[in-house]
Amino acid sequence: MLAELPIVEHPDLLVGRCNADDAGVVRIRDDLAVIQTLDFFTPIVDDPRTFGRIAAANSLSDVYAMGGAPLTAMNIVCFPRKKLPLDVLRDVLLGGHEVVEQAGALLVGGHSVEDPELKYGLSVTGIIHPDRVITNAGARPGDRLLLTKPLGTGVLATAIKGGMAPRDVEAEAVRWMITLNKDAAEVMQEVGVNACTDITGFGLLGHALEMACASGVTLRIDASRVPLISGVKDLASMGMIPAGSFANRKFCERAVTVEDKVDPLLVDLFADAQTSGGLLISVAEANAANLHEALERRRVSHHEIGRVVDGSPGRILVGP
Amino acid sequence: MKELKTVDCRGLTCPQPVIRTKNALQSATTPIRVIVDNEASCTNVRRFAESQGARVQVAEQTGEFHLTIDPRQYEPSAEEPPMVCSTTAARNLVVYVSSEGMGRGDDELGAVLMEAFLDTLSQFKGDLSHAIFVNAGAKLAVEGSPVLEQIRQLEQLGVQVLVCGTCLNHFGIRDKLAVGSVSNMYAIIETLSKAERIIKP
Repeated sequence: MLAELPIVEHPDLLVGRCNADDAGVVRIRDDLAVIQTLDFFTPIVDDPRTFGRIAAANSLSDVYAMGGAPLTAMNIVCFPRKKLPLDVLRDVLLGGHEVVEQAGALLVGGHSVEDPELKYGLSVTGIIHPDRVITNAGARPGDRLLLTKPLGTGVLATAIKGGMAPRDVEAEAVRWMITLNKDAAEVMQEVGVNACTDITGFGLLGHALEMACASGVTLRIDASRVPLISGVKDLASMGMIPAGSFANRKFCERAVTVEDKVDPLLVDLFADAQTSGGLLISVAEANAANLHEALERRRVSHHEIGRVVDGSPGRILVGP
Repeated sequence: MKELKTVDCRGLTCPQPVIRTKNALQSATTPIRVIVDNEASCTNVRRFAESQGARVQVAEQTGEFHLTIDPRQYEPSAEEPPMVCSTTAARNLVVYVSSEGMGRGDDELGAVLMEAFLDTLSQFKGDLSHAIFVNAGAKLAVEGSPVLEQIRQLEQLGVQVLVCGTCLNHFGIRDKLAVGSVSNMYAIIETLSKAERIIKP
């Protein structure tokens, strides 16, 4: 649909819409660029404060995925004043504020409208040196692929709606969703990587495919090495895969080759729409050990899930 | 041929079709039919039914999917939520009773519900290991309790009945204990921590 809108071009526009990247980046000085992004959505957990935290971590993530640091944030609120007490709004905003503070950014205002359904998120402005912007377009054959958070939040949200989510599974997923990608972003800048994107609504497959297209490469994912939130596979096998995740898989199908030995359930989970997911990082093979070590030192969870291989541009291979 | 019981899930999005199928299967003894209008729901319902040990056949008709689900091997899990697939169905259920009645709102109704709860529990005898009574729940295990028979029945089925000693002392009814054994916090926590599932009325 976005293809029907006019393309915006400018010498200082370093990252625009054309490669389906995470945020826009504009150079404002030779040594400074501004990153802009926004995201908001409906609650995926019942607790308002937790929802606020998750939404904020999710909104900030796009800045981290570009390798930047968030500077300011503004609240975006849709609130059904007649249906919900204002306490709920306060708790959502408190949760958001907490996470923005943890990110070291300033919450400087916002805007709210009345709406039949609660929605919350942030508009975030970040900064970065123009030469250090990490896009999804730099992956090269031979690169290793690392993922910093396990998958499964879409399945979990569906199970919560159906009253079928075990508490411990929900608690683990919440822990991941409120974890900022801040440390991972700082490590990427410290070590140097070729490409990065964060895993959100299009799932691992969708965002990996965007990377493969933007970089003109084929990504190979080893199914057994992709981390999953514990308990989520059981829920998926009980029919808790959201329609959006099926749509992701359908959309990617033409560009994804799945080897016979791979459990189809795993492929569905790789297409699962994520909220506040981890970073998918493409790092040169020679630098992979450094990245592992630096992530380890900062206690950032990470798994090597595959590599960039020679092959046609814009394709994904899923092996066992 | 007799018309199959049909669950019409057209127009519903996940997880609703799965929830409705689950509810229908709980009371079904013969095959049921589930109709969905998208592939996502079809896959989800099929996976759910198969995870519960049922047999599933799918027929696609002009954008609709008709699933025939034979529940003969289907065994509803004893408790929900949370729910896991049948391979890990609970075998070590612990019942934790911390009040005289079941739920809050009306004490008279609470007493009726508690009686029904304890009555029905005996149907899950294979899965129950312990029943723990604490706070006002301890009053249920003494002489004159309206549910003494139900608790005795559980005990006869092999369920270990633990009654909080501190609670019995607090209410001054320790000498009136009529079923189960006096227990302590250590044993209670140990039992709860080993339970696969805990049910609280």
